[in-house]
Amino acid sequence: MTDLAPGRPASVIERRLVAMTTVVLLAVALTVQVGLNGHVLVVPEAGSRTELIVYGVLAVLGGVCAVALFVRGRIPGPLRWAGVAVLLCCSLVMSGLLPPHPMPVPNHWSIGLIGWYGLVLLYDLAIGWVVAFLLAHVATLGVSMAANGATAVYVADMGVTFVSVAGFQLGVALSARLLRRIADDAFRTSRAAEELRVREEEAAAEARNHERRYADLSTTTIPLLAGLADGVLDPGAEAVRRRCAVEAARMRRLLIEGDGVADPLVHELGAIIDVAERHGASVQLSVSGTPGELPEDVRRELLAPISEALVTTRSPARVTVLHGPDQVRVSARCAAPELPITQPGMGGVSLVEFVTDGQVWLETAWRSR
Amino acid sequence: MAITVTVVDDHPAILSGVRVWYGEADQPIRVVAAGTTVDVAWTSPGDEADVVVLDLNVGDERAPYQRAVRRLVDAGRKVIVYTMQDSEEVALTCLDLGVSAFLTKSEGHEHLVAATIAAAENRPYLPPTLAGAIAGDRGPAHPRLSDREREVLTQWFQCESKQLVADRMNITPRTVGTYLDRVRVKYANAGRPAPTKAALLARAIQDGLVGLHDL
Repeated sequence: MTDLAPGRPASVIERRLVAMTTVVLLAVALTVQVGLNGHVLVVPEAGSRTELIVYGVLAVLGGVCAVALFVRGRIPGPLRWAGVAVLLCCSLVMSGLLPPHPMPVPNHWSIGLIGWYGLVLLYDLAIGWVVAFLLAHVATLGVSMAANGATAVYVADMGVTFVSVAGFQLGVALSARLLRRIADDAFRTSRAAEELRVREEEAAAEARNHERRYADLSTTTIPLLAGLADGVLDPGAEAVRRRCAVEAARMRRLLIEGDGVADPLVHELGAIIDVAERHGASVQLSVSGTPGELPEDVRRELLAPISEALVTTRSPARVTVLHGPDQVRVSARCAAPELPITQPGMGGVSLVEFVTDGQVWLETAWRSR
Repeated sequence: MAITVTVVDDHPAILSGVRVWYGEADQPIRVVAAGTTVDVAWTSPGDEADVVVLDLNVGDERAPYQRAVRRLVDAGRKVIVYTMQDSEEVALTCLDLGVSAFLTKSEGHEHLVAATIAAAENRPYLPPTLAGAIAGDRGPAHPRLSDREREVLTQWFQCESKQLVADRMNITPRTVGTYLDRVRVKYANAGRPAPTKAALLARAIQDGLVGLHDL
């Protein structure tokens, strides 16, 4: 029910509550039509032919509303406004049938019924629409009676009848506001609970991530730092300096992991290139293709050997990233480092190392299927 | 007879560099006109040059680069786009418009010389960055490439050396070149028609690079 609450999106809870109430209102209208006003079908009376037609039209409208609610769960816009027009026509026709003085058999049975159907059609709109409809309904009645020369007592009598019926209907229509408030509260509560759950999950994932990062560093960075602190490792030795460079790039990459950028692989590669350029390499990066989803461990394995090569070279290097439809390939071409490159260990990442004429050409690749 | 070139670039260092590179080429190439706007390619002596080397002013919304490129190509001019832009979208757009080659300034000058000679002779040349753009191209209208062609394309993009690609794939550098040329010709046979594309295709058939049935 898109018109439910102008100016704000209707929540699912609100839609369901209003739809259920509309069904109940329709049941009331049909009960009033068949149970209270079924006598129209059986009591022979002058002018009953017109009444029968109006009765039939209202019954058809009730049936159509029932089908719409059953099939679509709501009253569609065109049906709503066509229905309102039909109701006002019925109101006009029935008001015209009223005699100028009271009759033994009451033929104002349609007043309440038309109001109920109006409520079915307009319940999910703002209350003003229901009020406008009921006013139009009573205005039709009043004007017709005045035109027929009804007595003041009779007009007052009909006014009381109308107020007692329509007042009750207006009260029911006001319940829609209450429903919306209940739905709003329920929606806010469920959203708060959902946000809390998401935050808890995020915090747990973050904690797991921290543990994993620490686990990564504990096997490589921490022994290196411990070795340097204990004086076991010589900071001047080429192998130690290379390990330091590799660990610096690894930490730099870990620090920017999860920065929420469009292409995390290239973002992390940028951090590695930054470290490499501080060590004297001149790196040319070329990226092609549209980045897709890439698991974090795959990203790490794709970059690990490339990072090792780049941070230990001082030569010009060409680095490329190719995001294909079903694969990601990262490549680096530079002067061959003196120590061998670590092989990727997990995540289904393959490594091709091609060495020729003092140049190494490394390629890590991962297939998504 | 020397190949004549008009260079459009707003940086004097690039103009000087390009003259030097052409001067050192094995085949005589002469810059007959140079300027900062594309007008130089439409006025004498620049309008007679065999090849136009064009820097793109991609960000200028008042004069979209596509219009300048399309106008030159539709007049049958052989255009080499030589730019700081390494956007795949721009590269593929230029290719579709019918430029002879798309080169980034970060690529070696040897690619500019090779692309200029190839353009003058209506022969294909596929520089590494353009190869990368094609390898990553997922557009609906892109030509169908064989696995082998795609692999050569990717490796050429990665290492910029036909010799390295040849060594890694156990083929000759000449075969690597043939694969790249065939891919380039496939792109000339796709998308918007242009006189330069037709000339490239005709030459490729004449050279036996592709047969009519391949098209």
